[in-house]
Amino acid sequence: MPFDNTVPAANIGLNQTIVPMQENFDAIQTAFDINHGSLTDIQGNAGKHTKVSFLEKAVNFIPLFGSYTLFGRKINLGGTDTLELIEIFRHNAQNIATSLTKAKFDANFGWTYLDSGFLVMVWGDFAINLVDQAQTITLNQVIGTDLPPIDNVIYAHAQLRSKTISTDPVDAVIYPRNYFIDPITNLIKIQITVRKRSAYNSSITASTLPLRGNYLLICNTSGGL
Amino acid sequence: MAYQPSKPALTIPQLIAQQDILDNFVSYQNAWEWDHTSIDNATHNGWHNKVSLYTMNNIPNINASDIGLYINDEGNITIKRGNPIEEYAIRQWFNLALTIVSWRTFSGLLIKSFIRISINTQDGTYALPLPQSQGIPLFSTIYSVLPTVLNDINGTDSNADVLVTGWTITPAQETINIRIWRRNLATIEGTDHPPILINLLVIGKE
Repeated sequence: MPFDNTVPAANIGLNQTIVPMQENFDAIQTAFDINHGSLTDIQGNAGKHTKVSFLEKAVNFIPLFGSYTLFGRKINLGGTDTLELIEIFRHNAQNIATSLTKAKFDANFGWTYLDSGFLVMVWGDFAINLVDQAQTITLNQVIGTDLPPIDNVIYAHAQLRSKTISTDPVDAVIYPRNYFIDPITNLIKIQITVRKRSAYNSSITASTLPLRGNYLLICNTSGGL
Repeated sequence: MAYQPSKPALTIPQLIAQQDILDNFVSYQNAWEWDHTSIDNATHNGWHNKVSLYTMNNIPNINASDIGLYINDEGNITIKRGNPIEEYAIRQWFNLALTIVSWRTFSGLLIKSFIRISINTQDGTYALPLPQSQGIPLFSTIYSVLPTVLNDINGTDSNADVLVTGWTITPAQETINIRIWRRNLATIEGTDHPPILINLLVIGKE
């Protein structure tokens, strides 16, 4: 029976209202035992959580000002990553939600929030068409569309990437020099210099280009999912 | 007194049943206030002030339409979705003998640090030990390998440096092979003085 907060009614004797009172106590126990050590547990676990279940929400939950909350939501990232991921958002007084589980993983590109908050890690591939030259590579993922909102890039790492070392040795090195967000295109750019190694020049020929590069970024975001 | 939902009993006189009812209310209030503000709190009644989770010996059931947060018997803080069943655990591992420290984030990003290897020759392909012992998870994909020279064993080359330019990995393998180029910061591509020790930060996905 669902909980009935009109029981016991005024001026009704206990002998007449005792059954609905028992039903109310049953309803309290049933509701309380969800996610908790049972109310009837005599081992000291009554009231402790066994787990915390959240109903999946379709939109962000907005808490009262000055409070934080955890809530569950699922988001379909689309594309090749069609998994409907679990989301546990926390929400602060500025009405900014951060996700603990949201991430995109695929063969050539991905990103994730860090559990600590608003930093975003981004990784991916890029093509190198020139060697022994400074050049700027543009990452094709649009901030705010393919990526979460990013305020700035804090750290960038770029390196050559050979997926088959034994048959495709990479004989050049990359020196990242600068990284920035293009304010017009909202794309991240990394300035690099690709240098041949003198001892291994022979493998850097037109037939071996383009090489593949790999980048790792650590970014700062103010959230706003 | 433990909570007794069967009280008050049908055949108990009213004066005795009142004490049973009071006992139940006290038990309920005590249990409620484990993680909540006091049940008679005027402004925050019903709010959590914390959420205490005790370790579950068995994975708790999460309803198909729910998302659940719990701690498993390995001490992982785990987020689980009921349908389809997916689990996202966060944990840190140490293997001091192998100088490996690993972190796994909720999203599944895996970071392994302090993977220390000795470079005894100039350039080449080196195998990194990434054992599964002590529960350290394996990479299925690697996104970056960032090297740092720990020291020049001979103590003669303060310009020793390395570059990692590629890697191969097979899922469930306990090693990855990385391609390392030695270089010298003073001459960019000058000769170098092996052996050196390097630390590696490997970032990928479980």
